[in-house]
Amino acid sequence: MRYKEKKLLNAKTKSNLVGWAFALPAVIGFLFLNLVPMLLSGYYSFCDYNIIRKPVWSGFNNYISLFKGTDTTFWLSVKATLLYTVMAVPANLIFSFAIALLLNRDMVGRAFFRSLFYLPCILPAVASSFVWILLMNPDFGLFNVILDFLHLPESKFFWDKSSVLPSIVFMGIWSTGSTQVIFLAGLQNIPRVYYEALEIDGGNAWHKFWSVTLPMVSSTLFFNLVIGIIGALQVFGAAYIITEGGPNNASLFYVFNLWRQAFKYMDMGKASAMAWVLFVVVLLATLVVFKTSNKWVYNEGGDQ
Amino acid sequence: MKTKRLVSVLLIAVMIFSATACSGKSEVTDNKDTGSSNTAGSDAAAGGGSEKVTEIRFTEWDGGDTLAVYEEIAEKFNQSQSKIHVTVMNIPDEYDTKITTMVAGNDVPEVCMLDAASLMYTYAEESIVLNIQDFINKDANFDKSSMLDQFKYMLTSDYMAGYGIGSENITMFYNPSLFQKYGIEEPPASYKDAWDWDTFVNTAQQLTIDKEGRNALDPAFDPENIETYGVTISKWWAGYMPFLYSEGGDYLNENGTAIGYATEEGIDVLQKLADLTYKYHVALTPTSSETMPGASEALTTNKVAMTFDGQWINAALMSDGVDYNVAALPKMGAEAKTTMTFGGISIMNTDKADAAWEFVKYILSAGACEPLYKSGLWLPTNANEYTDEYIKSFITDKHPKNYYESIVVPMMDGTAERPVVATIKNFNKINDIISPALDLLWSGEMTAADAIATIEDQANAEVKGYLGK
Repeated sequence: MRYKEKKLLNAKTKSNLVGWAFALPAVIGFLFLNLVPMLLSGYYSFCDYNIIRKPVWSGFNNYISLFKGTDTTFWLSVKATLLYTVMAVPANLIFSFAIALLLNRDMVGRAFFRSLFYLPCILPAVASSFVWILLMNPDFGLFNVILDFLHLPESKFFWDKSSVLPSIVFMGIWSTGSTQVIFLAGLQNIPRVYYEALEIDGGNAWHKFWSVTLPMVSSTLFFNLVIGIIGALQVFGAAYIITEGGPNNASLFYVFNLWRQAFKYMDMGKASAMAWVLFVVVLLATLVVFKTSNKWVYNEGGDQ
Repeated sequence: MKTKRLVSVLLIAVMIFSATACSGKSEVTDNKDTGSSNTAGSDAAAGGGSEKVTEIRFTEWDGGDTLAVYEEIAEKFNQSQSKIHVTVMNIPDEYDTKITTMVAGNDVPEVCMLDAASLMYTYAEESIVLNIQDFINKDANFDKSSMLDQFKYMLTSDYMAGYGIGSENITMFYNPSLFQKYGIEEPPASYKDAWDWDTFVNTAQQLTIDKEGRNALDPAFDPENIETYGVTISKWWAGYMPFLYSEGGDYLNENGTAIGYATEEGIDVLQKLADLTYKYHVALTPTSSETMPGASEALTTNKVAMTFDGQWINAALMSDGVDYNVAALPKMGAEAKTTMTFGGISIMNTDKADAAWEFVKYILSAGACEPLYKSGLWLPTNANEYTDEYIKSFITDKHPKNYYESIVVPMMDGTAERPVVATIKNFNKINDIISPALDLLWSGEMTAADAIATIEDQANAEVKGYLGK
C-alpha cells in the first residue's frame, strides 16, 4: 500500500517533469532568443552604440533626440505609421471578414476558393511586391489602363505622396489570408441552433448577421483587431521593397526608419530607443483595446 | 484573472517585439556549400601539401554571372598556391545587415566587398577595415603602378580603405532603328563631340511620338497619349552628377561646407532634368522609368529611343542580342562628363589579414576578371589593363559599336569622375535628406529651387566635407 502511494506521488512529479521537458525548448528559446536580446536592446537604448565600438552610457540622450525632433525623420515616420494603421486595420478587418463570410457559405468549389484566397500569403513578399509595382506603374500599369478605359482619373499610386499609403493598404488587403482563416474558424464555431431559432422567430439574413454572427465572432474579431494593430504599427516590407520611404517620406514607416538608423547609419543606440518606444506604444494600444473589449466582446462562457 | 491576462498580454507583446527585431534578416543565404565543394578539387591540385592551409572568406553581393566569375577566380587562386584557401560567400540580400551582424558577433570575414557610404569608411575609422597602403608598403613584389588613383577609396590622404572592382559608367543607350526611321542623326560616340543640351532636347522631341504619330514638336502633340518616349533618366545621384560636373559643380561646394545641388548650377541641372518630363514631355516620369520592365524590353519594343543608365544593363542587352548602341551623354555646361560607379574590396582586421591581401592582390591582378569585361558588364580597374591592345582584346563583336569611344575612353581621359560615395563624408545621411525632397520635383509638384530650399539647411547640417584629405 505504502509502495503504491509513493508511486502515485512520483507519477505526479513525473508528469510535471515531462510537461516541463516539452515546454523547455520554447522556454529556453523565449529566454535566450527573445528576452535577453530585448533586455540588451533596452540597455543599448541608453547608450551611444554603433556596433563596432563598445557601447558608451549616454543616459536619455537617444530618447531626448527622438522626441525633440533633432532628427526630423522620427516624427515623419510616426505620422506615416499612424496614418497607415488607421487605414489598414479597418480595411483588412472588413475585407477579410467579408471574404470569410463568403467562404463560409455552402457553395460549389468552396475548398478551391479557400485555398485561392490564402494563396497570396505563401508568396514571397518580394515577388508579390514586384507584381504590384508593375500593376501600379503610372505610365503603363494595368490599373491605369483600366482607369483610363473607364474614363476615371488615373493615379500615380506608390509614386505620389497622397496615394502611396492607400496603395500600400490596398496591396495589403490582398494578403490577409491568415486573418480570413481565423475569421472562418470563428464563424464555424457558431452553433447552427441559433440561426435555426432565429429562423423560427422569423428573422431575416440581416438579423442573423447582426444578432448572431457578429456577437458570436466578436472574440475572433477582437483577436484579429489586436494582431492587426500590432502588425500595422510594425509595417516594414512595402517601404523596404517598394518605396524606400518615399515619395518625400510619405511612407517612411517607423520600423523602416528604425532599420535605417541601425543598419544604414549604424546608430544602434537610437534604433534600440526607437524599438522601445514602439514597444511601449504597441503595449498601450493593446491594453486600450483589451480595456474596451468587455463592452463589445461577447464570450459565451462568460469568462471575465 | 485580470493579472493573469495582463501577464499574457505582456508576454505576447514581448514576442511580437522580438519578431520585429528579427524581421527581414531571414533571406540571407551563403554559398559556403558551393565553396567547400571546390575544396577537394583544389587541395588535390595543390598536391595535398601537409602545411597548414589558411582558410579565408570573401563576401560579395552579386549573383549570376558575376558570382560565377568570382568563384572561378577563387578556384584559380586556390590552385595557384597551397597555403591559402578562399571561399566565396554570396550574400544576395541584406548585405550590410549581415556584414554588420558578423562584425558585431566577432566573426569578421577576411575580405569583403563593401558599400563605401554605409560600411567601408565607418569600419575604416574604427580600424575594422585595414589600410591597404600598409600592405602595399610591406610587399616588395607588388606593382604599385597597377593601381589608379581614381579607384582608391581614401579615408584620409594616406589611408586606403578599399579599391574599386568592376567599374561601370553611366552612359546613353539608344535604339538606332528609331533614329533611322525618323531620319535623325544618331548621337555622337565621343564625349568630345557630345550634344549640347538644346540639341539633345530637340532630338528627344523629334523622337517622342504620340498615338497619332505626331512628335513632341508638333503643335497638336498629345502629351497624355505618348507611344514612344524620347528619353528616360535615372533618379539617383549617378543620374544627376554627370550633368552637375558638366556645369562645373560637384556634390559639395568647393570648401566642402554645403551641398552642390543648392548652388545655381545644381538647381539648373535638376530643373533641366525635370523639364524633360514636365515641360517638353519627352521623358517618362523618372519614378515610372525606375519601374520599367527592363531596358531590353523598353528599347526593343520602341517604348524609348534613348536612356541614361548604368553599364550594368549593357551585359543584359548584349546577351539578349538587342539592336542598340551606346553614346556620349549630352552636356549641360562647357564639358561633357559622366560618372563611374564601382564596388570596393577591403581587407578586414583579422589575424589572417596577410592571407587576405594575397587574395586581394590576385583578384586585382591584370586579367583576373576578364570574363566580365568580355560580357560587357565591367571595365578594368587595373592600370595595366588599360592598354589599347588589351582593351581591343576584350571587346567582342557583341559589344555595341560605340563601346570603346563612349564607355572605355571616358575612363582614360578624365571624362568619368569618381563616384561621390567614394569621396563624400556622411553621404548616406545627406542623400537621405535630399532624395525625399527631390521626389517633389520628380512628381512635378515643385520647382528644383523650391524643392531644394525645403531641405537645404537640414542637408547642409549633415555636410562634413570631402574624404581623403
